Amino acid sequence: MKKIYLSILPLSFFLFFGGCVNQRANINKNETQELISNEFKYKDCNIIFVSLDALQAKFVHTLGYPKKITPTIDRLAEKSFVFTNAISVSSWTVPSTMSFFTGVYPSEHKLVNKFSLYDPPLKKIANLKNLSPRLITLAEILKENGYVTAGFTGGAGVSGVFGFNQGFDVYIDDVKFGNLDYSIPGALAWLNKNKNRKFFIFLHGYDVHGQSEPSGGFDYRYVDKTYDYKFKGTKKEQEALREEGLSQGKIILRDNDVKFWRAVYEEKINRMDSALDRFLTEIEKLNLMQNTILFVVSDHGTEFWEHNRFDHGFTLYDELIRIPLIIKLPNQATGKRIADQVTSVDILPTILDLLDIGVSGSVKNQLRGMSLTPAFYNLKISRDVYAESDYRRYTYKRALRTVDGWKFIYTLENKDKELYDLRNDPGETINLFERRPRIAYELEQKLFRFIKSTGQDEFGPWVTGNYPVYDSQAQ
Amino acid sequence: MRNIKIFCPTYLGLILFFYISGCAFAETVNQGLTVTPQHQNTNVILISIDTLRYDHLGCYGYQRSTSSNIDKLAKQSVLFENFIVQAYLTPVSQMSIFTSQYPRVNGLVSFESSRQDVSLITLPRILKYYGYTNAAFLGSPEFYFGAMVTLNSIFRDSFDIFLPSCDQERALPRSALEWIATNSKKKFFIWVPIGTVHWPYALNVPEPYRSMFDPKDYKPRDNTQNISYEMLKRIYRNKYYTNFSPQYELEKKDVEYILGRYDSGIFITDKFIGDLIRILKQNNLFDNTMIILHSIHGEDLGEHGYFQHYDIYDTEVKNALLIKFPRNKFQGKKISHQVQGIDIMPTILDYLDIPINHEAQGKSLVPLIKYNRSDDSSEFAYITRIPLWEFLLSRLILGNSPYEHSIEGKATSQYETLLRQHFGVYPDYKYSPYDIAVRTNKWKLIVRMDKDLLEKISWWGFISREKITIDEVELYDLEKDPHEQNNVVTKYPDIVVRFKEKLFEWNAENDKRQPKDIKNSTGAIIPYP
Repeated sequence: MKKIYLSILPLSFFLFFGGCVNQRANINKNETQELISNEFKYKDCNIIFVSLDALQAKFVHTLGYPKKITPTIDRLAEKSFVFTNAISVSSWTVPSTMSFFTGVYPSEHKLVNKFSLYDPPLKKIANLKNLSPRLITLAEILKENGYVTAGFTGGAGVSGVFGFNQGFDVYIDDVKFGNLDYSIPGALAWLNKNKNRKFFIFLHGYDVHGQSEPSGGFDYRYVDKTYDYKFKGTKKEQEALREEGLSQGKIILRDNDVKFWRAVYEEKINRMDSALDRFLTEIEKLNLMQNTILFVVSDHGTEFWEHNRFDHGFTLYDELIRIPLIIKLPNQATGKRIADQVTSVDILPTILDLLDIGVSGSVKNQLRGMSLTPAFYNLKISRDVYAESDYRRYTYKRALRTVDGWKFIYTLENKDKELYDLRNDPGETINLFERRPRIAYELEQKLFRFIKSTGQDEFGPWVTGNYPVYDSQAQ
Repeated sequence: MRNIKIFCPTYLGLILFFYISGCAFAETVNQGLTVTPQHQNTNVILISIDTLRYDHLGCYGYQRSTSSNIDKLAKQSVLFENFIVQAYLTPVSQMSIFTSQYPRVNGLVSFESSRQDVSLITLPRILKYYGYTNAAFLGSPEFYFGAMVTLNSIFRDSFDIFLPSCDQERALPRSALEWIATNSKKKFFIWVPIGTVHWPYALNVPEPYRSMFDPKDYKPRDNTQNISYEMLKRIYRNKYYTNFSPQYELEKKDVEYILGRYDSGIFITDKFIGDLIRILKQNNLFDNTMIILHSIHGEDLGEHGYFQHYDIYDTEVKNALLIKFPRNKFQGKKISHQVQGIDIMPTILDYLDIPINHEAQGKSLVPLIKYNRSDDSSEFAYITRIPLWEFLLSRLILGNSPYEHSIEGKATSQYETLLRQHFGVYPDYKYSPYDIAVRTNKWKLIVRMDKDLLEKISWWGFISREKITIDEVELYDLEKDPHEQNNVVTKYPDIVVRFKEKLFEWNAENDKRQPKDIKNSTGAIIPYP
């Protein structure tokens, strides 16, 4: 009997130790990630990167929108990894898209406005190579790794002149606010030609953007029958509303006007969804999907009066920074929804990770996000995320969106502070800055640690300009 | 193996028990690694003593025993030998400490600043976020002046209790003691600004303490029973002036008498501090309370020809600072590296595990206290000055004032006119451009941005009818000439160049950070192409 009891002693130590190790193993995700590193690797696979400019995450049916206006995206989501809490680092095209391709924040790649110098008559178009010569883009990295690269875009904010064409063999941007219908034919033709090589293609369209109208005009499929058509949904109207919102601080509209504009947005989304369907069908026909990773994202959303204004870029509310992020892997047949909060600067590291592309130290240092693949294994990768906007010398904003549902927005030129409890107030209507001062204070310090880390001087100077800008605003 | 039916389950039970306890142990260790933040169980007391010369305290080497209680506290504290404040004016220096910002940046540059001009992210406000009850017991009227100054609304901000000792001007704020005794269960931040050292010297000092340091067999001259401001402002370079001529020359005993009365103010303050510490101990609060004792600014005691706080020499800006940490942590340490008033707030927040405001310009002294490395100190300290005395004369004193100037008669009104020409009439006032200074433990460089103006308006020049010469740039070798008597600006041109560069760089940075009128924007916003 004594011998048995003696054997219990060492056994109990082993068990105790085993318990400890078990607990600790759950905590160190990085180690685990390295242990299971080979499952999501697709060396030499193709990348199709689709950016649906200005699409608000909330309006996608599979992400919660009640109307079924996005059947294609919904179908795609059933077979993909869908990030339901993906946040863009900026709220308009130029800075956001460049952050996709460089993996750094706008204040770091410095493509924060279309002009890097604007002092009429002196004007200088912003260009990535001039502003941040040491940054390398996704296309350039893939090209170095033997990929053929092409971009088929709607021009305007993603024009090559800003540096978006860096690393692309072919870059089409010769239209202003073009739709997918414009980009798709060229893209398909190029894909046909290059289907036997490893390719990276960037497909982009402004279908749902305010400055685009559907070819052939609207059919107002979702508009209330009783609407009096005070507005028609034209790009000129949206531009006027945008500028009025900026100069007045808010727009006064009738309820049915707001409904109308949202219905117009829904129509654009529905039509864009059909165009996407046409594209995906053709891709299937070309038999590319078993060797291709498909990304469907948006660079930012659009405000339709959620905060009494229209359009995008001048705030950092959720209607502008929550974006769809869908990743479909080769031969993926089942879907998975991932609720972890992630940021758009995670996209570049994710692509490099999936393609198993090794990068030099300097490129590694460039990456500000992390690969999303651990989420495919159910590991938790939710983080606090940050967003920035330096909008046309009108306003300079920075935001922090925490994992536990707080949004803190700071306006640099006048030190305005906003705190929203997203769990109870997802519409960000009640500013809790004075009622929850400790949280506001702590989030402010966190936000400024971030601001400092990107090399910005918090004291600017944050020079703002005057209204009006040009004649069309005088209407 | 007889009782196998009992044995196996027992064995399995033991296996499970040990495995689970291993899991639980690891979890507890992980939880335990997150320590309780200090702000949950630490009280803070900030004792701000107006007009206190650090070198009149025993713990800083004073020969007279003016401060036995403070000396005892010092032994349990960290003592800073080179603590420099950012201004010689009481509310300006104190606001700099509360905000950890230089005066121009936080907006409180004089007695005129109003609430909307001033940054209110102060130490008390932040402590309030973390559940502190904030109580102020004020013995210094500068923080609650009425009339044309609105400092009350600025300093009162974020205090749950804000009690001036109104019964007598500059009385010791004894109400602090009662409050502590009845509120010992609360987590508190107490601010005790003390004005008993400020002139009139020995105002609130009862006998026998009042004359305890008087020279032996000394009989005070006429009008000098109370060493009031009225009296002090007429002393220049050891002469007492009325009607523009010296009535007498101060003898050694006269000066001793003045200093003795000054010291009696320190003595009575020190007694009060003793009472404060006693109350804390009686209520079991001493151990978990962080006590910071500092002078708000010092006083020139004849080193530059006058007895008041008038300029930014070390006599006024090099101050006492003691920090007693809970449970006497770090006690007995003496730090000779230079530190600044703006460092106090970050130090308190850092110790309390509260994030430091990103707008703070100072830094936590905790690393310096721990490791004593000069990198963690302020190699350069910066000070600003406006000629407040002359400015106040133009506004408060000469016009409608309790002070008598009938002796000087017409000349006074001429002087008043001259001052108003330069400073303007309320509310359209303006200050002269600042004097700015940079200091290291070895050098002090002062730049007077408008020395001609200072010469013209000098009060000393007025009462003595002497021609006052002011140098545009002053450089002092603080090691050889700690009382800054000998301007060596011509002897060390390299130092002057280097320090001027640093000073103007700091000056530009502060201008940039100043609260600005944002409506002054240039040009149009960028169009949306």
